[in-house]
Amino acid sequence: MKEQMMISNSSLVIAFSLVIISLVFSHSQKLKLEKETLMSVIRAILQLIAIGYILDYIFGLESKIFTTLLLISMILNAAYNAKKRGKDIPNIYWVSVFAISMGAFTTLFILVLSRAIQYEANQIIPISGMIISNATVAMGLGYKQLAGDFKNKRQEIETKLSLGGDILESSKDIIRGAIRTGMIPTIDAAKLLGIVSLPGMMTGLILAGVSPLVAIKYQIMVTFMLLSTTATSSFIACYMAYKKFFNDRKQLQS
Amino acid sequence: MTNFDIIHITILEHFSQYLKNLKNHINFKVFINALLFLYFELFFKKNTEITNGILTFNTKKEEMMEILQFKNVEYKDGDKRILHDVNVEISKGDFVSISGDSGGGKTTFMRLCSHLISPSDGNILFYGKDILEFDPVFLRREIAYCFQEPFLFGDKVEENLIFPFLVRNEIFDEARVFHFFETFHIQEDFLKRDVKNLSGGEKQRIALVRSLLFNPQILLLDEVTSALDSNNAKIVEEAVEVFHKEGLTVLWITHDEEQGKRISNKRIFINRGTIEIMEVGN
Repeated sequence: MKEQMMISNSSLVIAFSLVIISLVFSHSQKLKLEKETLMSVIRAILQLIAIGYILDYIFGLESKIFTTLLLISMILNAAYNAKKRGKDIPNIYWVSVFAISMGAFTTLFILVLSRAIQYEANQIIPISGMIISNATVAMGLGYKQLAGDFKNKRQEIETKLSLGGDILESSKDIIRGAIRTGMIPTIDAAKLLGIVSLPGMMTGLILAGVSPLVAIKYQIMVTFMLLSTTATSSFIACYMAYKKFFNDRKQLQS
Repeated sequence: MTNFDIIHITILEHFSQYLKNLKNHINFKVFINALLFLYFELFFKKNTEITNGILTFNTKKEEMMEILQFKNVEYKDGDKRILHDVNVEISKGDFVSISGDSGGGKTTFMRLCSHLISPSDGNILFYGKDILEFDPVFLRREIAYCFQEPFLFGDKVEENLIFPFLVRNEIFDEARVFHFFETFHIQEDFLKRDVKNLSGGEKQRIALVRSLLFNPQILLLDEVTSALDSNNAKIVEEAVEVFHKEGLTVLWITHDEEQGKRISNKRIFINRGTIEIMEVGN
């Protein structure tokens, strides 16, 4: 590895002038975003400092149990966020916990088995962060679509129920639509890789002095794992969630 | 007829056949038949009779049985009472016309029949048995429901006609579909047509075929002809009459009083959430 790039604190302070540019712009254009911009920047700084120290501590522990505990807490938090998008769906929290766990564990299992990564805090935690947050966004979109379709496409569902379809057969098109909606951002992002976007992780590696030829290998792995986790989580979440729209007499609930 | 009855009848038929072959043991046969007779008559109150030395069920009683019965049915949507004190009996083979003010609860009545909703209070019976004892999917296959505005899903007409086969794990039978197409005056090439290019009348006729493909026992029609021109309405009316003659029980919501009188043997008027008048006879 080449000489690593180090950012000094003083260069960070100078870089803060970039924030001032956006503040000036907001003020002159009367966007009324000054307060919000400042708050967001301060929040970002505080959150990152906190996570920096936490991660530094955890990586130093080198404890597999602690890594697993952190992984579980990430999943529980992510499920809580996904739940917000599917407010109308009962028990959606536990559906989300299960779906994210299955998605994340499947991906991590394959990555560890293929020796792409090792089960160590400094590898598992950042990778889990990427896949879990991506899966959460996908599931949130899926839930939103599911709830919307079950509200707006009542006639289609009830027509299919009347034709003797079971609840799965009557909702299949809607479930498929929801899974698609959740997965499309990940697929679209994969299409643009390299042509339009150099994702944060790859940029970070290059900045840290890693050869672009090595960085792309990591990016390819990341693309694979995002796709698999998103697909697994969305699939499980939507196929578990749709049942909640029906009662035990297989009637669409209002 | 319940599953319990069907099992009994099957056992009985086999047993009677077996007894018939035992020609040399007349006394024994009479004795056993008498026992069976007592068993069914006294303990299960089934009407049986002995003809030619074989015990059979008197099925007339079964035929007379009401296919659908509402007993003090009430339906509330939240706090709003939509239907109340609904008592009605529909016999197998009936052709019932239903009319009444809009918003009076006719469609809710139909939705209760097809078990898309459950009553808040009271019972609905299918062949004398509470519908809650049946699997909802089974019920909806026996009681087909055509909406006022037909909903054709997918892109092609074909998808709509494949669906009933698909849910029953059966292979799509084009010949059967064409047979139904003929009754509803639909050309065979409609199968490949785009759903969005169909007229209201064509959509409704395809929706009817879709519902009738697997010979349901009851057909619920919710103003299916009210938006159609007279030609289309006539085709639908005649086609439904064909299936009615084959034994289909029909419940038809219609605003057209003439149509109601012409086609039905029972007329129900639903107003302000309950059945106001019921006329029997044609």
